[in-house]
Amino acid sequence: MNELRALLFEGSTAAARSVSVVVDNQSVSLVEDGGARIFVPRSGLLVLTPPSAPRPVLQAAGGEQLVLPSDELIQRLKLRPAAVVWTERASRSNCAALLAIAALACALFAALGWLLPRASQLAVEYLPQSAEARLRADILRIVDRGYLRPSALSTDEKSRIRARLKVLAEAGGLSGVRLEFRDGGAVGANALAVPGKVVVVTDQLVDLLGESRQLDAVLAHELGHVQHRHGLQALMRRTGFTVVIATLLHEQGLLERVARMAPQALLQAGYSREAEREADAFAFRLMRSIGGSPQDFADAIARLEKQRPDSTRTSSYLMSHPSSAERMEAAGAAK
Amino acid sequence: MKLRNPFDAPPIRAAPLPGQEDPTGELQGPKPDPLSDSERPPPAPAGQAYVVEFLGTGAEYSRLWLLNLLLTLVTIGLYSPWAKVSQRRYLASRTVVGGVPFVYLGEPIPILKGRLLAVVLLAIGWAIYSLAPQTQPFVIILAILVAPWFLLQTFAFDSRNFSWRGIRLGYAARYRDAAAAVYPLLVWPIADLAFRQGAEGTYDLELLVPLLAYSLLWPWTVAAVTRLRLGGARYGTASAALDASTHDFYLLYFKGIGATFFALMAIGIIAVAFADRLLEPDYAALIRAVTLIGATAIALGYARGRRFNLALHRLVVGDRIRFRSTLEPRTLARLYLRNALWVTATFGLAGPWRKIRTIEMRARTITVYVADGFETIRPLPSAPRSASGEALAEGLSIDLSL
Repeated sequence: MNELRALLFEGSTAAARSVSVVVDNQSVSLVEDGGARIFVPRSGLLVLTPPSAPRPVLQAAGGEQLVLPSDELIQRLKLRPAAVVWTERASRSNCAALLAIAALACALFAALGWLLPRASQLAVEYLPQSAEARLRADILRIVDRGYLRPSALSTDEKSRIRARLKVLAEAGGLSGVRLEFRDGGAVGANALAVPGKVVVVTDQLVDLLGESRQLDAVLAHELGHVQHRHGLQALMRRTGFTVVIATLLHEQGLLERVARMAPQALLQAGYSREAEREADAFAFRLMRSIGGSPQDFADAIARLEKQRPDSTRTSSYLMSHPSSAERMEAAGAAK
Repeated sequence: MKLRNPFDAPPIRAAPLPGQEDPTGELQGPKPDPLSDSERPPPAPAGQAYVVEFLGTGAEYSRLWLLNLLLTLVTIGLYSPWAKVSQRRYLASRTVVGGVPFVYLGEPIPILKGRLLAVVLLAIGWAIYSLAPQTQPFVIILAILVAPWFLLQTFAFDSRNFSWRGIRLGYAARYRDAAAAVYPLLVWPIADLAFRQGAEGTYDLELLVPLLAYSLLWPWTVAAVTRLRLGGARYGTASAALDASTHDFYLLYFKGIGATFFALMAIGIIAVAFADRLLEPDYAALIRAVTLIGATAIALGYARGRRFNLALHRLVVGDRIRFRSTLEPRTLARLYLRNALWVTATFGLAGPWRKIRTIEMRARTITVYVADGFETIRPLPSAPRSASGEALAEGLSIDLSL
């Protein structure tokens, strides 16, 4: 016979009774300080707390709860848990946890390196035209409200540059690409490709490069984005990344959400640089096919670089584009 | 005869009777006002003191979390109810008040059913929304109308599955109170819509006005949510009451946290400006990131620390259970800063370990005072409730943990 102190909660009030647990061969009985004895059928006892809880709680068949000072009694009587959750048992082993870390690392690597790019590519392929058109309208509205102003170029200039784009697009096997003109304002000389086959060039870019092969090279680069549908892919990847990370780190607070922004920015910039290299390569091929040269692209980059204000420099890890030096070198190699 | 709880730690100190002077004089604070309430602990309330201990370890919880995460991913989410239940069971069993742990009684299968039902409902809602565009306003209005009800159901589901000393916790609040907590969250989209129609060049205004409206309403929202969450709490037949007004929360935020916030902003702007000018872009970007994360952590630590204290000191359960917290907002802010840096550096893997640290710290500062014993606290008669509604709400998981 063995004695053990425990707390009994009968469930009718929150008050506790201090009892001794006496275990015979066949039964468990609770002995009150006054000597009163309550028999508890051993088969009806369930363990409410998970394994290795510091203060295990038992439930008797009548709903009474018994708080024990250690899990010695549970071990000795081999009492049944009220709920079996597989991971509760497995998580007691360090080995299982290490295996889980390894598996999770592989899963993350595969998800970010392979699954996400493939999935975004597929999603882009199957995205309905109407959705892309709606997206195009939204993005154009946002850039117009935020950064750009109506263009001051003459109608003649516009139609001449549109004709240049048409030649390029045909050479690249693209149809239905729309060219838009805007005053770049603070953005300055720049060009961008909007999902839904729209290329936007700023007046400042036209002023800087003139109606030249260099302007063609920049347009060809933007057509590269159109060809590979980079804008949409970036959007899909961003969404996918958020889903992956939110799944991994779910149930986390505001602070973790802020902390997550750093790796996301790094990864996003990495994807973006890759896309720029792809668009550059497309521009090199296109320039050659219309009788130009990748050198035109290198020259355009050099002139853009010269007029870029110093304040726009960013970390090489966060840059959306490869460095100008790298791009000019690639153009040299492509000649 | 009144029996002593054998696991009880001795009372921290003999609590002075109401109206009596504190013999040591140590706990004689100034007259309580909301700000100092959240700054330093008020005198200990009357009654028997029960210490709150948290006995979980980061290693145990991280291992559990990792395995749960892996299984959840492998089963495309089907394991998530078991994951949730096991994590709650762990946290509850390690939270020991006066020698008696909490018990989590939730079961995975109803949670799974609720989550599957939620997926189906969301799919139907989405299909209606996108296939019949003319119904869109009705779908939105319906969603807005049922959101407070879902919030109440979620709280009820979360509370009812915990028990302490053989008595279940519970939750009961009115739709009106839930609506007061949910609807301020609509201010941003409404203000956003209103200012989207503006003329050209109002881009800054378009961002600023909703932000400003939101910040001004923030203490009001927090007050409503805190009152809703704590004021509706039940411990068996004993219901909780939170004696904190909206005014208290405005004082807490604008008087208490405003200074910290502006100091942080100033330090952040100076640090970033210097870094941009003096350092290589790579290092400047690092400084920017650390400044952003650090400032958020410190501001959040202060805000939550003060809110935690205010709420605990003003909470009474069943006229007999009171709380006292000695948490210092400064200490919590430091802990949050360390948490943020750890979580960022480990891409989130340190999350569960830091969570345990945070719970441990908060628990350590709480003392529960119970006047007149536990004899009058009885279980609520368990009327059969719409458990499926609660499970569904849990599946839709409206998270208002501000």
